[in-house]
Amino acid sequence: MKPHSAVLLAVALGGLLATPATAGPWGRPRGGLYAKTGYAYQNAAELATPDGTIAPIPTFEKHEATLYVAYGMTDRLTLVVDFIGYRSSSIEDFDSAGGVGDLRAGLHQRVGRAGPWLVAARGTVQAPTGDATTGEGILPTGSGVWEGDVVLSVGRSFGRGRGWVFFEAGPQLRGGGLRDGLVYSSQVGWRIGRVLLMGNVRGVQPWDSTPGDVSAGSAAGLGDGVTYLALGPSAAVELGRALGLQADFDTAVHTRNIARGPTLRVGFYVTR
Amino acid sequence: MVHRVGAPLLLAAALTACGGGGSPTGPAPAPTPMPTPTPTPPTADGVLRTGTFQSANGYFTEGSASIVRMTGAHTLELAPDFLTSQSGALDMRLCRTTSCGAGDLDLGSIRSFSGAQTYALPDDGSAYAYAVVWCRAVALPFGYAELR
Repeated sequence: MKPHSAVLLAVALGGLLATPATAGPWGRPRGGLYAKTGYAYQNAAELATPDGTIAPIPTFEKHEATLYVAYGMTDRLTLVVDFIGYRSSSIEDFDSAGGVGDLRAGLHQRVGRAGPWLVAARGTVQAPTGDATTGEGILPTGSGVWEGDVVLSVGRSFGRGRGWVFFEAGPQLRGGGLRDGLVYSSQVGWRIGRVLLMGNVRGVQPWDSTPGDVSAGSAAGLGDGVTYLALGPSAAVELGRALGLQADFDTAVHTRNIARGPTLRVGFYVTR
Repeated sequence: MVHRVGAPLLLAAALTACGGGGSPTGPAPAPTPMPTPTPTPPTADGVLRTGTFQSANGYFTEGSASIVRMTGAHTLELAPDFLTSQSGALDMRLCRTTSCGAGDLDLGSIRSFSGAQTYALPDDGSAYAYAVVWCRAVALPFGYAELR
């Protein structure tokens, strides 16, 4: 495959390769659309407390229905919307609660190229459309505060366009007294026919990880000082020229203030 | 079954979640069950037993608690220096060990994350060794005070 074709392939795949809210440096071409509906399920029997202690807890379950849309406003600027349409969670023998989750919207700007590496920047704002008080505040559907992040993304294709890798990192800003930190992600992938195989890393690391005296939604991973490093594989299969199915699995290590257990995601995407 | 005493009052601060807060001064070691003390039942009014809170499981709790007898009635009194991590589903309990369970005494939702507060007791609480700030959602103590 010619280098130019490799780049086009990477651009075309950029959205569908992504785990939720991460897409690498490949935006959409002008008028191009990528939309994915997804479902995520987490089951956890452990809680990582604010100091990182792992404590057994009654079974925590979380379900999310998500919508991710990327639309190319120009060849260099892509509008990204990521919405948790419904989030429900429960703790055995305690309670369950559900409702609309938080809405994220951002702009993805292609910055340029450094050799084979494509460079982009993305700024995202998260509106508190969810409810931080459901389930006595233990099972919130949102963080209850405005949040945002700005990430620098670099990526490239390799293996004659069959493989790709990207790295992203940048500051996360949280309102309401919740501590700011660093968000990061990385993905490496390889195409085999109509199947795409990927390995993912993503995480959040507060600048200050000492336990604080503000608390919100810990088990749901929306509280203060939330820390995790999630690792896992993804696979996508193209069902047609513009349709595909993707599944992701991850488990977290290096956790604080969040339920600790595996998460499974499935999504159906369309692209134009 | 955990016995429940009194009606829960409105929390003095905004509800947040179990598992979020912690100690700004560093975590305390995980709680270790201790033997139940055998207090001598006094008949006069005054402080029967008292203890100082220790943080647990990475959460933050400090201050002191006392069981007080006054004109024949018994109360658990938290001192003005009491402070704990902000959370929803947070109860005050009297328990036989630092991990509350069946047969322990639930005094209701914690009334404030800081400051003096009083909880009525059905008796002198001599069956229980600890005052525990207990998150009923995740079944973990935020802190405990051994009452001696």
